[in-house]
Amino acid sequence: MTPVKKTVRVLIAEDNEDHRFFIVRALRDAGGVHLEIETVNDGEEVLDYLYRRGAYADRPRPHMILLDLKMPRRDGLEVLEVIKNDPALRSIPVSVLTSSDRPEDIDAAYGLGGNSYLLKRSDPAGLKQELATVSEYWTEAAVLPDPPD
Amino acid sequence: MSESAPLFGQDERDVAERLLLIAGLALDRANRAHMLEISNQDLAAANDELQAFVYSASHDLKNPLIALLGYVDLLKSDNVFEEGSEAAMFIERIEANGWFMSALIQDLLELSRIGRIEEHEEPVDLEQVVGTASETVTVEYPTLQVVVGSALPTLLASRTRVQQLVTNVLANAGRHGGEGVEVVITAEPDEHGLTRIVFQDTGPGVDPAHARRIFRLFERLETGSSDGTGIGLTICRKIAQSLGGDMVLEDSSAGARFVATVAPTHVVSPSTPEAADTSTTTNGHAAGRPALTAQTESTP
Repeated sequence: MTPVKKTVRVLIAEDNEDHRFFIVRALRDAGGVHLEIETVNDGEEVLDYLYRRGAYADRPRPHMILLDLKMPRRDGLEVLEVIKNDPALRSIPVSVLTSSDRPEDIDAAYGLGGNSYLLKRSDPAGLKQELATVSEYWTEAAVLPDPPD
Repeated sequence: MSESAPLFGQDERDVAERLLLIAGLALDRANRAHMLEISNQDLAAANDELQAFVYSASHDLKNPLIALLGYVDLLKSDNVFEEGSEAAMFIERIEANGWFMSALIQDLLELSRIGRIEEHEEPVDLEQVVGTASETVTVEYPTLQVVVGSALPTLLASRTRVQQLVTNVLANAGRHGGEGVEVVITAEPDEHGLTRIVFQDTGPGVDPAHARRIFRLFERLETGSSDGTGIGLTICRKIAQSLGGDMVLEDSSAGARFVATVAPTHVVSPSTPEAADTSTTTNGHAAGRPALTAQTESTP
């Protein structure tokens, strides 16, 4: 009997279309558990998705979020603050995935309750490896809570 | 009507006039000092703004670059173009330029950080740093020889920045010094109480006419992509300045001699005892660690 693959829903918040393409592709190539990947384009859409507003009314909550920092409408730190201040959402692990290595951003992200901070690598092989490691950690090594209803 | 006697005598009027003159001068001086302070504040603010701009611009340039290099990688891995074809060569050139731009952006980001962001300072054993930097640089320049020629100090500084300074100078020697170039690193006090860290190499040297130019941003004396970003020595100088000193290219009868000075407040101990009576040659190995040392010789 083939074991049933665990399904992990990942919400990727990334405004750069190209980066979204590479992140999704790298996560899909990483293998392991079955990933259900959802993408949104800006900070406001992350909150629409999580609060099931508008086009996202029927979407289930994700197991985890990969969050870019520099996004239009609402930036990643604002979104992180909302998530971690809402008892209904705060148990969802949020990994910041950004090209900013500013110490201020790193401190702010962890200070607001971010669960990890990842730097987007410039080299394609490095980025792929990084995302494979992230995927393996969050979907296989770490035990994730059931997403809130 | 009789003429009344003047209220103040001539002497008193002279004193009053003199006082008035002194007060005027003092006021003028205070005004000038105030204006100078405002100018300094404006200058510092403009400098901060410029550095913040360089940081933001460099950071924003990273995003399209990640995409560009990513697509190049996909084209190469999917073997879209026939090997040896002109199109394959174009892809190689796009990739090489992408990597060069990546190095430029990284160096600009580093440059904008030095002095702008407060960094953790700790005692940094310079000899250890030389060992680590040698290991890094000799990967790219395997024939480069690094010799610790005297006891080296322990500095109170950011380890990353000291590492960056030494690595950049060694890489510079590897890039321009030619096959088998040797860099001898020594330390000595100067006449102003600063510590001089001297990097003397055996390469072809630098024309003294370019002694100042080479520390300017984007200045490169040669053409070609192997010539670095033109930011490395600017970074070195800024690091030395952040340690209360400076960095210069001194006249040398043979090879190039770069000297970084460090203020006494950034020197924890003038030398490491173990290094005091030996010099160490490294070639891709950590100096001061006997098991990894390629060669040990007596101090000249």
